[in-house]
Amino acid sequence: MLREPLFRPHEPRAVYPVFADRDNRLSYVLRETYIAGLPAALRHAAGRLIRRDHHTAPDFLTRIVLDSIRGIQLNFRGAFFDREGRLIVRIPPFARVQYRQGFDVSINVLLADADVALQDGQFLLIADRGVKLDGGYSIGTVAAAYSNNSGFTCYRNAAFARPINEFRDHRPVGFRSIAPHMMISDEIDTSAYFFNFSSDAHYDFTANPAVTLLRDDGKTLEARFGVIPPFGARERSLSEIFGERVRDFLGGDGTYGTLIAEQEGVTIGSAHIIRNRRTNTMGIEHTRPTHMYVS
Amino acid sequence: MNELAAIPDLYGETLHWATARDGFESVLTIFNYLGWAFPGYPPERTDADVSLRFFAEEGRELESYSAVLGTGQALHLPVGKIHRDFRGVVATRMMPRGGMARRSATPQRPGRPIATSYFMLYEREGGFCDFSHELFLMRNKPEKTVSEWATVLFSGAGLDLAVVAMNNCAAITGAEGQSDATLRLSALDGAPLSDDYRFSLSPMGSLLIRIRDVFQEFSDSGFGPVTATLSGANIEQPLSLHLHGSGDFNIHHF
Repeated sequence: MLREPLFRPHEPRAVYPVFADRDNRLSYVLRETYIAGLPAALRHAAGRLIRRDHHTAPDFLTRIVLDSIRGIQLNFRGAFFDREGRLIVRIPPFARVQYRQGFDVSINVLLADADVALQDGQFLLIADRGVKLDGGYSIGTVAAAYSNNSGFTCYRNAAFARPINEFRDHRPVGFRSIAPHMMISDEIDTSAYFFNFSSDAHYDFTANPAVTLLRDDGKTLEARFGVIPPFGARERSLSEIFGERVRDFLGGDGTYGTLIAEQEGVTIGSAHIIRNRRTNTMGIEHTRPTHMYVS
Repeated sequence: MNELAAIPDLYGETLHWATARDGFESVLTIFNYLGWAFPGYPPERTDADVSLRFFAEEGRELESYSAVLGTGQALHLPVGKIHRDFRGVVATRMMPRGGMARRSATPQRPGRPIATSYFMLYEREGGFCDFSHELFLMRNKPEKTVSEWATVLFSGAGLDLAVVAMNNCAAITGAEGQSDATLRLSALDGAPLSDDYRFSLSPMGSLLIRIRDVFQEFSDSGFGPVTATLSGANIEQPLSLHLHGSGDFNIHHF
């Protein structure tokens, strides 16, 4: 639970993992095709006012209209949480972009500037307005890049102003992620990384998803993922979740499995990480709940 | 239960890029989730036909691959085992045997296409891996507008950079379906750093563009982060490639 909200309802935000053993960077480009002109901005503002949408304050709607005339400008700020969900520090505005401009920022440097030691955790990126004039006010994709002397990886995911685990708005049916690219060998172990975040500062649900590892012949291993405190996150590898038995179950080069994680009643953010212990490299990608989109 | 007649286009073909060259393999990984998406339906209706179409870089369609994927089953298919030395676009569809429409669909409003939710897992000799979720739908008619995609590329630490451009327009031959595209590099403040690199793609064609090959001023690494902007008609969401000197790599959409 937070003492106060970190963002206004209309402000797009997203949470990205931070790793203590990597250079952690975020980057973004505001590209032309997102920008709404004056007629679209006026239609949007009028529609929100008529519907008395509580996510959009009058000053924000005024800004949308003004920005459509003078040019859009986004300001970015952030916050850093440890994996237990404790808010460690709020990061003041660090980037401002106009159309066709971008930023690239090192989270390591932002934390150092705030006298916070680099540690595993999550960086909450907040933009002070969205670009797409729809319910989510997306700003488009943000890249999270991770590097060390051994390698480089990144993934890109959009930031939205959608309510998440904000039960006055809705009660999620639950969460299910499907990752059909799990593997384990002497060198490689695959992890699930789950975020238990909310747009409600009073959120206090502790998650512990049920996980099933499915082999192509239909055999399964089942376990609990482990506790994820509110506003916290956790990375656990296959061998940490299932123990060493998973090596016999799925072991061997060229053998793949599918990890299915489920949690009732809340939405959880999910990414998966393939780590190579020998080369000290990793690949990361978020999952998408495509199977929820058929209603 | 929704008993609308089957709507084949509802289960769209979504695109991705695969390579089985230069020490890479691309493993298409897909899971039949339809038993959860359509609860209450018997497995014989949620069992699915998975079809893969392969398009070489010049847009030529190669022999396709199909498989039956039972409800709750997964397929892990190394693309190089289907087409040796393949590099190009893969289009994947997962169609339930029951041909169900969206649960809220009506004959007048069938709804948006349903994606397959697959990932492309890239492996490179030396134990390096990366993976990426499916991209967007293949289109069966030309786009009327020019799409623009942009992202930040990183050049430090001996990274070798490339961009993959893909045409997304199938079943359209000739100029209408092709892409006349440009790639340019800019500073993060928007200032141009290069002339436009212009190229064309045939329908469903693709191109791996190595930055140092087409922009002479970026032939050395270590020039800092730059914005890459790719624009053109009938362009799928591009990919960036970062190749690390260690052999590690990253392949991801803009």
